[in-house]
Amino acid sequence: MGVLKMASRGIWRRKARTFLVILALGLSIAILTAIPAATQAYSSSVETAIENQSSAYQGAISMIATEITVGPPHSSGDFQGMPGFSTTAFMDENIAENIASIPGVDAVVPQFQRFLQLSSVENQEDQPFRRMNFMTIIGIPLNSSLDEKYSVQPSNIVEGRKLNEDDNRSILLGIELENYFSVAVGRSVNIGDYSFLVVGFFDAGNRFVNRYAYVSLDDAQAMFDQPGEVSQIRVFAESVEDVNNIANEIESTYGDSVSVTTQSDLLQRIPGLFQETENTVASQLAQMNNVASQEILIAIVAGGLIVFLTMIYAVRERTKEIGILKALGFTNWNITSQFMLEGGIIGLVGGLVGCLIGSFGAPLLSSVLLPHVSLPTGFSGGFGPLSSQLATQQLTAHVMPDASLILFSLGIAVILGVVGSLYPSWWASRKRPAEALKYE
Amino acid sequence: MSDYVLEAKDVTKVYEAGENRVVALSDVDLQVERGEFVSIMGPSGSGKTTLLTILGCLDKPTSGQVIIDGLDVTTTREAELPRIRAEKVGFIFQNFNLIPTLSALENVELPMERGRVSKGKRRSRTLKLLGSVGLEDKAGRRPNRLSAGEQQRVAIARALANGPAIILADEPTGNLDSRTGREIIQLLRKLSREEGTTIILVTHDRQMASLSNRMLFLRDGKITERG
Repeated sequence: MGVLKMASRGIWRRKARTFLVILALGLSIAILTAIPAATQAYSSSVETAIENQSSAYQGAISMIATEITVGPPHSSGDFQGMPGFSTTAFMDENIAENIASIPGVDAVVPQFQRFLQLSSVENQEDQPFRRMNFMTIIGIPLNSSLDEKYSVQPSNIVEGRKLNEDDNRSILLGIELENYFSVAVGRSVNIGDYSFLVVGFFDAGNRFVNRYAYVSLDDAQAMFDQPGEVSQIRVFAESVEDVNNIANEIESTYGDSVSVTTQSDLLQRIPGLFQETENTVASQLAQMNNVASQEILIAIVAGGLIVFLTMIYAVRERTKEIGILKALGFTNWNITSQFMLEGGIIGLVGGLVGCLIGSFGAPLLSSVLLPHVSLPTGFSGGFGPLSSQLATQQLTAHVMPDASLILFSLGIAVILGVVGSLYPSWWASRKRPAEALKYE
Repeated sequence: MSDYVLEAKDVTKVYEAGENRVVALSDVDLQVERGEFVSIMGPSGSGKTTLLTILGCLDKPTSGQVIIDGLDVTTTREAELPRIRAEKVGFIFQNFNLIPTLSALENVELPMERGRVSKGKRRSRTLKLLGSVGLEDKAGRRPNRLSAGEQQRVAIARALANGPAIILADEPTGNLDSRTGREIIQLLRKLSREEGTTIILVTHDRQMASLSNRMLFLRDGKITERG
């Protein structure tokens, strides 16, 4: 018959009350366990998401930023930024070879682009085609390593394949043109006097671009009878630092006979966009942490209060018993320690229950109790050409408290139990035995 | 050292609550010899219980001296009192005052926890005491599964647990029918004789008091030899 036994008997005397107290304390401890686990998980998942996005951006940006577009003079009439839409001006293909020899140039991609009016509309029922009876022929060098590095051909192939190096008289069609020509992969399509083998269809997610048709540079030039002519030269520098030098070199060599465009303004906007995103995410996380710490504080105070009130009640209820124990020679410390042990046991059991609820219910608890965190969609919105590559990432956090957090919560629970019963047990031990005995 | 196991000299107890001043005990003098069975009678409110709590070190007198087994407990440090209560005094109450969550055995064993008696010795003494009050077969029962008389017998065994110098019994038969009450007093007398324990019995029942060696009367906070 030790103090421990007395304490545990004291606890079990009021089973329903003990059950409720342990449940309430358990919920407090569950919050204490789940919320930090959730904030940790969300923070690290946001961090990972930002890292992933920024590395995707860095890759895309370095590709875009190193690109210089060389076109014929006054070719700025491009319709909605679609090269070749209204371009009638062309340049000598040899310029591409000369540019390729400028130091710092990694690759040169000459392109032949020509807008083509489709005089006869074969499919009368397709209303949009009567309004948009055109297509754009794009002639490109067929080089797979170049394509891999700089996406010369559209990447989203929905059927068939891209053009290969020896694909002469072959064509890669935008998906809008599939209906128009009523063709399938492996069949032939006649455009003007030329017949092409359809190797595949792509979907760029844009109705205009989906009316492009890619063929080899030679085929395009032959088709329009413009051998040795190109409408645009895409120049890729080895690094962003080389871009200005290369652009200056081209301009000084060809003067007004070409127009040179770089992405310098885009480069200037990038740090701002990153900063904006980081700020938005940081403020979301700060708000979440703020809510979390308030909830944790409330949980701790509530847990302590629950134990405190329970023990006050238990002490009042057992005032007479305290008197008896004193009459039997129990010291103040004997009595204090018994009630504190009771509080400690309640804390421990409540803590175990709480850790159990907290571990399994962490995802639910955190989704109910914490504000939602997501990466702003505007992050990729600033870059039209990049949006498909950089789809907004969904934040999936695996919320599971780790062992150290569980031990910590358990410790807090026991401390709450002991501290919550500190005053009640002290108060109990201070009762004068003669008065305590009279208490009914 | 005197022969008295218990002495009270000029014990006065005054309760003060705001303007009210109640004199519960007034210059009480009392000498009890070792092994004596003294009963103190008096109407309710005469200060009987107050006297017992002071004699049992549960409360301090406003003035005067209480000497138990040669030790002046009125000048003893507060921290020493629990040990004196545990070793020198055994209490028996009108409403038994057993701990409801503990079995009869555990209740009897409880006071011994404060001493330095080994667990085995504790247990054998407990069983012996329960045997002597005739409850060896009900040792495992909790108070709510014992009759009133049985509960009071457990309380007697508990009071004797540490072999105290004095047993202070406050109306121990008050909640019992007269036959059971008589049995309890006789048991108390028999055991105190065996254990050499002094008994101070507070009662307002003349029949019970008549079983003692000496009857004292408490009236208006003063003790007299005659009623």
